[in-house]
Amino acid sequence: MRRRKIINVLLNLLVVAILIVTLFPFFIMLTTALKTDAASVAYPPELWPGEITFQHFQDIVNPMIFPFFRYLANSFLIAFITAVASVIICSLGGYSLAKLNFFGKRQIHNVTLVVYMFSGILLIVPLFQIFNSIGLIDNRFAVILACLVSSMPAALSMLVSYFQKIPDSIEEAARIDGLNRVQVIFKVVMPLSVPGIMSVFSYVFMQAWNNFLFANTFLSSMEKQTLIIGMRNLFTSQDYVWGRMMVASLLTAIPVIIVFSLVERFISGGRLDGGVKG
Amino acid sequence: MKRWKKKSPLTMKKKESILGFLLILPVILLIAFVVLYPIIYNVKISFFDVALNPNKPDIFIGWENYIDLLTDKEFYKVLVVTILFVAATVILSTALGLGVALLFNRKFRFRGAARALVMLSFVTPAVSLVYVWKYMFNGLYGIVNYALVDVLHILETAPAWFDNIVFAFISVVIFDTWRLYPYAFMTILAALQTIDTSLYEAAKIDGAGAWARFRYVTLPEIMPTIATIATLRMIWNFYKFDEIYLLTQQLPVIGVYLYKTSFASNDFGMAAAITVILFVIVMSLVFLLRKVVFKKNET
Amino acid sequence: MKKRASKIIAMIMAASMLAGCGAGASGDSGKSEDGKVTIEFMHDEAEEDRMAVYDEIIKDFMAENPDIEVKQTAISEDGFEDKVKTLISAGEMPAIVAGSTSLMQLLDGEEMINTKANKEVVEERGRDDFYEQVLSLLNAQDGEGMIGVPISTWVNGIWYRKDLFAEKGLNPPETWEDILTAAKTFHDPDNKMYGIMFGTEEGAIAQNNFELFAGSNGAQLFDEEGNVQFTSPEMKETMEFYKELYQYSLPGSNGTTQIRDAMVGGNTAMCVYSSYILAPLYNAEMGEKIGYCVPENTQKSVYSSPSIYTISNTISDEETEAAKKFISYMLTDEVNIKVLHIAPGGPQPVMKSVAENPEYRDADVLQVYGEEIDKIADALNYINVFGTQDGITDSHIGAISNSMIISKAINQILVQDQDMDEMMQIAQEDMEKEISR
Repeated sequence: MRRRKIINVLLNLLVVAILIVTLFPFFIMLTTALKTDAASVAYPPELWPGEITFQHFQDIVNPMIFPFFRYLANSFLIAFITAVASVIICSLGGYSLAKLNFFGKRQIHNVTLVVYMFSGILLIVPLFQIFNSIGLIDNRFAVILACLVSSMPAALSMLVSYFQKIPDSIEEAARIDGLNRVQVIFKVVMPLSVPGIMSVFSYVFMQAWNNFLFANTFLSSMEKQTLIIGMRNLFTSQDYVWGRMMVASLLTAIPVIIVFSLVERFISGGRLDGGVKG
Repeated sequence: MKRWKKKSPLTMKKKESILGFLLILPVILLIAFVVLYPIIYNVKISFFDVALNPNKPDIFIGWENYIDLLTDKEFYKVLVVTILFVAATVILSTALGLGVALLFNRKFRFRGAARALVMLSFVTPAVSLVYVWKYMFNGLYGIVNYALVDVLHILETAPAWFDNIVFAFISVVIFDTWRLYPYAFMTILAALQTIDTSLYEAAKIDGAGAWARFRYVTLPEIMPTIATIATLRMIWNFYKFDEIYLLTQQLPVIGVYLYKTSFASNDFGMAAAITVILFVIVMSLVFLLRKVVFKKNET
Repeated sequence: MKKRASKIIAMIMAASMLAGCGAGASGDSGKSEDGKVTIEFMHDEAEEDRMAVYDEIIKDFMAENPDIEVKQTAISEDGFEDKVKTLISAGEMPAIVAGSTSLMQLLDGEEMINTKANKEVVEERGRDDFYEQVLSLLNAQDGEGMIGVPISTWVNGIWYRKDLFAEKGLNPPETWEDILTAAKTFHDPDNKMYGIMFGTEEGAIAQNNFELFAGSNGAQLFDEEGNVQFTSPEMKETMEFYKELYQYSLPGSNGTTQIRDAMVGGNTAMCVYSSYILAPLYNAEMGEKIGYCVPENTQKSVYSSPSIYTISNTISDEETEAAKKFISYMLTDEVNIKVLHIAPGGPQPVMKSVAENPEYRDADVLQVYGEEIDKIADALNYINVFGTQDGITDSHIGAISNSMIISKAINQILVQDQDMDEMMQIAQEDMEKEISR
């Protein structure tokens, strides 16, 4: 029993150590956000700012310097719709690949992986031409489409492996109860897969939220630009201000973290063996 | 009666087949629309010397791009560096993800919060992380050099973190591992939690110790997940460009090489040729990885 | 089941809404139904406060020209050229694009700009009012027109701590000897003080800074026949000098961030940087301590990169006229000063009348620096950049600059400690290859 306790303590310490190492850069982000300009490039560097300033936070939400809320709205719109669309399309597709047999299934599954190998830079120029010819340039829908497809292989893979873990016995049981295939999918399998689906939701949301390449290429008017484009402007401008850059980074990361935490809470309940034992 | 029995199973199977096809149709359509044309486009222009202006003619040069590429020493160097980079980051981030997932698979206080915090480095935009690192590693006011050189005296002078190819490699691998391990962590943890606890009980009854339980129960159960993560990561990292380019100019990987060729030198034809060749290489590597390392016989 | 259905419906609705409001937004240039001509103006100053000034200017212009509508699009600097290239490959080019000489040379090479219209705008204003050195950067490859209209330009040079120099009784860092002496005197790495900071990373700033010193030694990139001569004696002397200077600098691949932070933080006595350093130094309340200098070995020389507006040749005649009007408007004294005051001290006037206009001097940032501002304006007389000789600019210099061959050589020799002759020879060959493409 004693030994167990010691091991437990050690393991907990390990968790703390890992957290400290992983989060150190974020600590730096926070302290620099609170430092004055002079302090941020001063030597020796202070671990905690001697003089705390909230000027950078004020600056970032000042529309004259950084139209934070406009960027936020655009980013959210794009990320949310992409994630919802992805979840719907990839759940259906994922189930199909995991559980059903049809002509050409193997090839199609391989093709989706292959798609992953064509990285963004190569798609940009021809995609721009396609979207341009149908008038989708400077339209957030173009970004949604591109983000949707580029995250599809990952989303599909995740859902396929998740669905594969659902024992056939559950579905059999439902079939015996008189449900047809489609009903089994929607009434039995999907509810059980909520954790997996939510994980995919948060993953796709994040990819679309952080996307720079497509947003930068397909959008041009200022009203449509996203948070990540705004941030890049901030970082590469001649008038860069470390404090502002750090604040922008923190604020841009927060919405995604919130989404992840919400999903996390949602998932923590779901366990699969509940279904089997019942 | 006999005839009716015969028909029924066939129709069922066919119905399912159609359903299966329908369900995957949106995926196929999207991919065809958004990716197929660019792929064909790239294959086509790989045989041309492409002018930016669409009104200027593209000059047909046949296999010249490919020949130039395959005889360029620089290309092979880039390839080797990339493969090393991919191997290092995939192994390290998966291993670290596995370790941390196992660690977090127990109950402890604030576990939920801790799990959310670990995800931070994965979730934050790359550009923010890169700049924070550059800030921390700055030769003058960077806290890392301050700590290592001036306070702890572990090193004599600040090393060239991003400046020579060896250090740049190490720094970028560390950065990338730090950034990506939460993905492995998250996925493996989810998989760990779906393992039927009765399997562990059975193993314990058979007298298996902690290590044996891990090897014979945990590992096989999560192997498919690990295989998927490793494969996806590998492909993703092979073309990685953004973060590396922002961090250092001294690590020649495929992503950077591709960018320099297409946008910096405006040679889209050559860039397309590189893509086609890379595609063949990556396909082979994926095949190798899945068949040999993970011994999978089906997707 | 219901949940899923409503989700699907919501998505379709949202998508069609977006598509609807998006479809209307396509079509940047053209004539709309009410007879108005619309032109798009694309530039890389994506900071909110700068765009606000452009908005104001555009509003005033449109008030004076009710039949013209101008739309501004700002793309951040690091993605700007990529965006332009993507646009071009789709055959779309905004009516007016603002950029650097290398971008303009690229566009000229791809035959996308109206070199004649550009020249007309300059001539209408009057060639004599412009600094001839700036105009000589802009000849088109057809030998006739101009690749763009210069609106402003920045120059680089040596910025030094007047106060520290005075303490030690040192000469201003003009001659190579004085520069070295000063760098040696102040170099004290143990106390985090460096002699001089300059560009050593594989980026544009390394080449720009190097051109400053190469020019001061009379080194030209091309010989009379237009061949690359990177391994000439003058170039090599400059590289030797550079190597020595590097000893008194912060080791590593230094770019704009490292250089500016060091100067603002008071950790270096001198730095080589563009005139854009004036604002950050002013913000750090160091204005009075800063002096400006143009290096001179066999001659005085500075590097300069004008902000150039160019007119696309893919637009209609009405749009071309509208574009010409807008650019001419930007060249009028009052408006030009407004543009220059967006980041006072950074962009310098390209027209002598504006430089001498007292309204131009009337900005806090400029006041603080006093007579140094005169020196900076005067520096435009010594513009000497690679590729420009005898008033003509070689059309390949843009491609060479974009390829970073020279910056790479500098980085290899200084930071990676490679053999100087070998690296310069490699750079020479790479540049020859680039030209023959």
